Amino acid sequence: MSREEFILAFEQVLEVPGGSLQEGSKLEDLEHWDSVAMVTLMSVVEERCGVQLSPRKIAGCQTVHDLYQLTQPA
Amino acid sequence: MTAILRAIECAFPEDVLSTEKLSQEYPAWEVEKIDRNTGIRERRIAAPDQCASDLAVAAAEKLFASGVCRREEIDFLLFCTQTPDYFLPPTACLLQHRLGLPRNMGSFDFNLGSSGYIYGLGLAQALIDTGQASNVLFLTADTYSKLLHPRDRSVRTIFGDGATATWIPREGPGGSIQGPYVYGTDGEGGPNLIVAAGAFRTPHSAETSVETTDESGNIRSADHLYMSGMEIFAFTMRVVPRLVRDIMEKAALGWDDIDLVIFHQANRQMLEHLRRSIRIPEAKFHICVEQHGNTVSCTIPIALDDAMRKGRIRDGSRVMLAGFGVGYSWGATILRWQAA
Repeated sequence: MSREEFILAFEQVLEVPGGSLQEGSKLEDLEHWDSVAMVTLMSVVEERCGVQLSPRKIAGCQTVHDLYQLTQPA
Repeated sequence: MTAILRAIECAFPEDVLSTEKLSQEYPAWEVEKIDRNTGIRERRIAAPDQCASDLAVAAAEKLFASGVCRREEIDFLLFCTQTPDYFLPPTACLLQHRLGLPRNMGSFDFNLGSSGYIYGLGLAQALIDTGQASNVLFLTADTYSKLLHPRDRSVRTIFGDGATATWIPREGPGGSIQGPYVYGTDGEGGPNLIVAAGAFRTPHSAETSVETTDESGNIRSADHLYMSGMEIFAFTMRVVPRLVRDIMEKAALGWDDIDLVIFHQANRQMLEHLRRSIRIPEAKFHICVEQHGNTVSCTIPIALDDAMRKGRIRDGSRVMLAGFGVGYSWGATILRWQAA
């Protein structure tokens, strides 16, 4: 999944308009970034990239970029 | 001689907690949005003086009223619950008396959640196959609503109360309970779905009743149910695909041989995700969460009963059942329906 695809998918998870998220957007500023969104993101990433996100690692993320990094194979 | 799943009856409290009602109570929760994901529209909530055992009695009485079995035939009672009447005596013993069941009968409670139905079927088969019992009454009931903090959105939108009664004689028409079984346990996940206080490790105290607000704005204390939705989701993704593979391997069956799959009905989002990642054909996957939500050990028999009523199970049908959750604990088995 490319950066652009990830951001688009993340916008859909959060149900916010396309183009409203940047790579540097801080997660704590996102109103819809809650546990329901986290589970939905885990499901989307697993289905599209085959990567299982760890809840602990998600909790350690500060920005959209940090989340994107988690989806990349180590 | 083999154990047969002959009949299922379900019972629910009268009080309905609809999505609309939750939305009115907590407009900020965006319950409508959550329910689009979970697929849950209604949950039944036990009255303050209504225990899991009361619901279990109602389910069992429906079984007797249907004429499929008689009280005096029963020689074993299994009761799966995590919300008993008392620490002791076992609720199953009280149920023997309340239901007017024979005294020369074995009975006990076992404490499991979403995997409980699989374990109960396994126990019933073991009792019957070894000649220890001939006719098992298997009850499941829980009132998780009593464990929830009213302002904890993460659990109030999901859980509902209910009870089921399954009649398992050793012969006759129905679902043949012959296994195989796959079981699993991982206590490392215990803290992710827990009521931390109130038993003996951490008895109730002024400290355990202190309320805290988590980062999602949910309020609870150590006396209430805590669920890490994300951890539970990650656990099911790790465990359930392998569970399904293992039970099919053990049974030497492929997808062509399985007619219906019934998982623990946690919520629609999780079920759909599991279905897609395991590649279970949609036509073979039963979802039944809308009216009762997650009723823990009751979801599999509720969904099985629903599938039978909808004609999705016929003579010769093979049905895969899989439960997974609190513990962590999981299990799966396959039933074969037969006319006689």
